[in-house]
Amino acid sequence: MKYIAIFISKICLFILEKIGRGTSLPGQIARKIDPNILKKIDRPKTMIAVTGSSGKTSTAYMIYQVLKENGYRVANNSKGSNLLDGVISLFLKHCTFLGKNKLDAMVLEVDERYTKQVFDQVHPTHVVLSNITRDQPPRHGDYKTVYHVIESAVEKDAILIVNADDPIATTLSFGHLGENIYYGMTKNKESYNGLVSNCLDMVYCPKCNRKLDYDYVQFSNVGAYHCSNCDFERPKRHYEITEFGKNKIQINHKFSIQTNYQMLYFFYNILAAFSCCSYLGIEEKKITKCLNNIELLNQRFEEFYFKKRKVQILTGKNENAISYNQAMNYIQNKEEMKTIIFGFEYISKRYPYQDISWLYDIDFEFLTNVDKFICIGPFAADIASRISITGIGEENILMEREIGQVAKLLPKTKGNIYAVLNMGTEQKFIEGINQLNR
Amino acid sequence: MTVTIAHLYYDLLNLYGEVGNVRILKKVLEEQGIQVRVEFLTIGDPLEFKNYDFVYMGMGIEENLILVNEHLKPYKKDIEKYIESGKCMLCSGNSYELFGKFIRFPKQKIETLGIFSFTSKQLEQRKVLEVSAKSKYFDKKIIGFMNTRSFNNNKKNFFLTIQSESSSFKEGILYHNFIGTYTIGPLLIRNPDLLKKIVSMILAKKRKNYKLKEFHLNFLEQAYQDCLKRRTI
Repeated sequence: MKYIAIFISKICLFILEKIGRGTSLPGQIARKIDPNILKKIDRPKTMIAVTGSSGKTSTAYMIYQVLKENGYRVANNSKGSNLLDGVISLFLKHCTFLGKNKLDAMVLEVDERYTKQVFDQVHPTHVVLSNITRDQPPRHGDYKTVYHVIESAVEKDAILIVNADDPIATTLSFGHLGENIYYGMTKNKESYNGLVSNCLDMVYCPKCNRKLDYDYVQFSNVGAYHCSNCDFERPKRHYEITEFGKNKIQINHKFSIQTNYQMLYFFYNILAAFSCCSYLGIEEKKITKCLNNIELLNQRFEEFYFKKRKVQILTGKNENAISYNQAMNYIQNKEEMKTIIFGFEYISKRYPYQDISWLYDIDFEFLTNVDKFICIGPFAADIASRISITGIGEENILMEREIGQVAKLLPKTKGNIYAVLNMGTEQKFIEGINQLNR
Repeated sequence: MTVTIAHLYYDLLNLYGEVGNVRILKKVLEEQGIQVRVEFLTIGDPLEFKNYDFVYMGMGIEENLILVNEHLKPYKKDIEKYIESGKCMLCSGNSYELFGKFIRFPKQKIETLGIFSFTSKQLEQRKVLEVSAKSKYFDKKIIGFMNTRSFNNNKKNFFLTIQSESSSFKEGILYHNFIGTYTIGPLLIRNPDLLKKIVSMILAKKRKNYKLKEFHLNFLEQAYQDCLKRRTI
């Protein structure tokens, strides 16, 4: 019986892959045939799960690349689904008809709300936890709901690799019976002296309910925190970004990594990948070599010119304020006069709700030297309403619901152009610009 | 004239961009030529309800609601006086449950202010809903969003009659000028008429026959219209 389920599922996988539906459907079919299919396939010796509210895809992909280039036989679901069926499909793809695993390691990106379901089946040996923040509330509920799911999912013998700067993630790690490996960041020129963001989740001590004190804050509630009333504090970091140079970062004063991505949250992803790989025993020099200038899916940073003005497009897989705040932080650090374009075609691929409350968690209030703020897409008026309470004068807020038409507004504006685009807007915007540039 | 807005528990009850409500109110009042002081208050701070012209509270997680409840309870008399005097208070999301008798969470039950006679309970399933509702205030619909895990058994003084695709139900509480609703987020921005209503309520309490200047809420009005166009109900 055991082999029949694997046999049929592998055939399905083969056919479905040919027609481009090989990501989660084969897993779904396999689970129908045998709900315990994963128990019948060997696990690779190293089973890494990457989870958290953001940074999963990039971090998992980097770990995968490092392992692959260092001789591991390794698989990763970054192009597929991060729910249970996608994981089953990946297992099926990499096992023999007798259920023998052909891999040394697997690097799984796991949707945080499904960690319990997935971990119960795959038993990760290493769990990388990037952060826990408010994110897509119609799907996830509040951050505490996500916290409880992850808490119940991480098994006691797993190694937990945790962002030490996120007080919610570390609270979880303090209850973890297995080993904790911490990573974090020192103060840098983008750090704040205290809590300033609109977007704050836990800022009270989870042990004694006193408000946490911060030596510095990287963004939202992430930074160097401690409680003045009890012993709750940011744990010591095994891996720390100690220097921030132009297009490079240095870890533990020794290991430099070149990077084109300039936002702090991205540095956290690189650091998480480095920490995980170093802990696995891969020589640090080999890790840095592999992570140098790594190119990522979904993380683009385009730059071109429109009538002698520099245009930078900042895109990401943004579905929450935390990632938008990184873009805002980047723009805020550019001191010149600028025009900002902001918008999206739809709010989420995954739910139909028109909740726009997260717009108020984005720190537009910090922007300075803004000539014009152009709100684009079907939610342009909602964005303009949001911007109107920041202190940017209403006469400097423009609206354009048709994204392709935005370029026509640009001659009325001044300064370099920063376009924070998401969810189906990027291509239309570039086409509009190109028409005028001709 | 100075209007004092108290944003209570801004750092504990802040799941859905609630600060937007306070900022828009400040802006609109200032455009009326009025000085506005916003007090951001939280546990540990003394509360002086007699000094406030508008009180706002947003939505929070269970742990935070419990912390807030402990801090708020000693002020029961002050709050009752505030509400009975007809001053304006808005509680969006689960914070208005604190004004009922108790909240039952899965693992514990907490006694709350007991200003109103309803009780609240946390449910297994979350209720996620686009809000399209009628109120007593005006003919225009109130729009918004609901994402709640708890509910209460209030039976009178409802604030909204919500129409959803499958059903219609009454929700929230409107007593004198106290408004409680599970509708969350920046509801004063999404509903320019509700914003105007609240501004006029605040100012009427400040000075009899206060003459309002014209409001300029162009972006808000457009966003409201866009939302109605996107909606099917």
